[in-house]
Amino acid sequence: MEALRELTISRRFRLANGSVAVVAKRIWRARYLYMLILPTFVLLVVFSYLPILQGLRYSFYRWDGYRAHYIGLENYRNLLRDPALIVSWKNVSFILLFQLATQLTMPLLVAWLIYRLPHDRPRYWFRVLFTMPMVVPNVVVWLIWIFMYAEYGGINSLLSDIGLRKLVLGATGTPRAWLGDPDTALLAVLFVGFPWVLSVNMLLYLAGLEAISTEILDASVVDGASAWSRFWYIELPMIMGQVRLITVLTTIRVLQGFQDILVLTAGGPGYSTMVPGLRMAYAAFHFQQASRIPRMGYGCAVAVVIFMAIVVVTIANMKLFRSPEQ
Amino acid sequence: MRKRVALLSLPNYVILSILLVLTLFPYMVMVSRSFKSVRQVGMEPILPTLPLHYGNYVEAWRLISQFLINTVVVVVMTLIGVLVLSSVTAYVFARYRFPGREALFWMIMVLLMVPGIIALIPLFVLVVKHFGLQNNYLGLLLPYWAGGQVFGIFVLRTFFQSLPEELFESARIDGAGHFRLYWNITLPLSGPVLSVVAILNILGTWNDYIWPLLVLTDVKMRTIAIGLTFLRDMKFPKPGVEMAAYVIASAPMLALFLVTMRTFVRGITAGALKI
Repeated sequence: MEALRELTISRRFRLANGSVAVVAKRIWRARYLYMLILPTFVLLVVFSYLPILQGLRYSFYRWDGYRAHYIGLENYRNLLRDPALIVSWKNVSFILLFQLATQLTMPLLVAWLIYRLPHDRPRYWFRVLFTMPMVVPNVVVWLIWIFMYAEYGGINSLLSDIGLRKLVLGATGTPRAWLGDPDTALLAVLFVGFPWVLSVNMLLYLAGLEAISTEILDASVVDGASAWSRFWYIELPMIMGQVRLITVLTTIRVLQGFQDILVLTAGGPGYSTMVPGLRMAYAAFHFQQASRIPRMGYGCAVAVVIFMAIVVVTIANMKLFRSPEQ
Repeated sequence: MRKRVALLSLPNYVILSILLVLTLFPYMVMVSRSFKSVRQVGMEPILPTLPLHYGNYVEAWRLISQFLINTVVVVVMTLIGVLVLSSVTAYVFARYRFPGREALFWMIMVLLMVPGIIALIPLFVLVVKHFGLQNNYLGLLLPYWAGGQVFGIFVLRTFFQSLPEELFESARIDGAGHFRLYWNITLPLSGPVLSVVAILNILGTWNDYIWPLLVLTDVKMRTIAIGLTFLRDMKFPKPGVEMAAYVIASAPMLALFLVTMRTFVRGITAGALKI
C-alpha cells in the first residue's frame, strides 16, 4: 500500500517536473506524423463534427439556412403539434416491427438451408446467387417495385393470370394502384423486397453458422440430436451475436431511412406512408416547390429526436439480448 | 450413404430454389420487359416474348449514358480519395507511437456510431450555401471522402497492426524510409483488405440518392440514381426502354461482382459491421 502511494507520488512528481518540455519534444519529433494525418482530421472536423454539432445547436433556432434566431424549445414543442410527424412515428414503428420480424427470420432461413447443404459447390453457388441482388442499385430496386405495384403493373397482371381478379380491382372498379391507394400504400411499402432475404443479413448469418466448431456439432450428431434440436439448442445460441447485430443495424436503417419512401410514395397518399426522416427532409429542403421558406431548425429538431430514438433502441437492445456468458 | 445424404437435403434445395426465384423475380421481369416493344408489353407485360427488341437498349443508352459517365467519374474520384486517406492514416495509427494517438483514434471511431441523419441539414447548408458547391462535384467528393475514410481507417488499422514487426525491422535495416515501408511493404501485403474497402465504398457511392439530389440540380451533371428518377418523372418514351435503362444502370456493378465474386461476398460480410 505504502509502496503504491509512493509510486503514484513519484509519477505525479515526474509529470510535474519538466513534463511539458518532454511532451512538447515528443510532439515535435512526431511532427511529420501529424502532417500525414492532418487531411483526415481537417475533413472530419469540417464535414462530420461541425455539421453534427450544428445539427444539435440549430434545433433550438429558427433557421432558414442564412439567418438563425434563438427560440429555445419552440421547435421541440412544435414536434408534438405536427400531425404529419405524429403519423410518421406510428408508421415507422410499424415498419420497424415488420422489418425486424422479416429480417431476423428470412435471411436466417436461407443461410441455414445453405449451411446444411451437403456439398461445397451448390453451397457456394446459392450463396453467390443470393448475393447477386446487391449489384442492383437501390433506386433501380425501388423503381422496379413501383412498376410492380402500378395499375397495369406486374402484381396486378400476375393476380389476374392466376384468377384473383377480385383483388386487382380497387374501390372504384378500376385496377388498384397499390402505392397510390391510402388503404394499401403502407402494406405495399412493407412488401417491397419480398421475400425479404436481404443479402447482407444472409451473409452475416452464414458467416456466423460457419464459424461454429464442427466438434460441437459432431458431438450432437453422436448424441442423436435431430436437425431441429440442433438448430434450437446449438446453432441459434451460437449466432446470437449476429441476431443482435442485425437487430441493431435494421433498427438504425429503418429509423433514419427515408430515401426509399421518398422515391416510392413521397410519403403519400396523404401522410399514409410518411416517416420521420422524410418529414425532416420536407421541412428543410424544397425538393420541387421552390417558393417555401425552409424550416431547417425544425428539421434539425426532428433529426435530433430520431437520433435519440436510435440511441434508446440500441441500448435497450443491448440489454435485452444480453448473451448468456455475460 | 452419399445418395442418402443427397436425398435428405432435397427439401433444402426445393425451398432454396423457390426463395431464390421469388427474390430474383422482379429482376427477371426487368430483363424480360427490357426486350419488349410497346405492342408486346400490351399483350404480355411480364413473360419473355419473341422477337427480342435490342433497340430498347440503344435508346436507353442515349438517354442515360451521360448519367452513367458522371457516376463513374464520381465513384472513381471518391474511391481514390478514400483509399489514399484511409490507408495513410491507418498506417500512421497502426505502426507509430506519438502523443495523443489513442485520443485522436477514438475521435475517428466515435463517428462510426453517430447516425448520419443528424448532420444532413447542416452539411447541406455548409456545402451548398457557404462553400457554394451546388452543381460542383467537389460538393459530393468532400463529404464522401470525409465519411468514407472512417470505415476504411477502422478496417485497415486492424489489418496493418497484424503485420509482423520483423518485416518492417529488416526493411529498416536495409535502409528503407517511411514512405518505402508504407508503399513497398504495407500496401502490397494488404491487397484483399484494400479491395474489401474499395468494393464497399464503390457500392455506397453508386447507391447514394439523397446527397446528389440535393447538391446536383443541373440535369447534365446528375448521377445515375437521381437521373433515373428524373427520367421516370419526365416519362420514359416506352416501357421497354425504361427497363433497359435500369438494366444498363445495374450492369457496371454486375461486372464488378462477376470479376471479384469472392472478395465481393467477403466484403459485404465485413461491411455489415459498418453502421
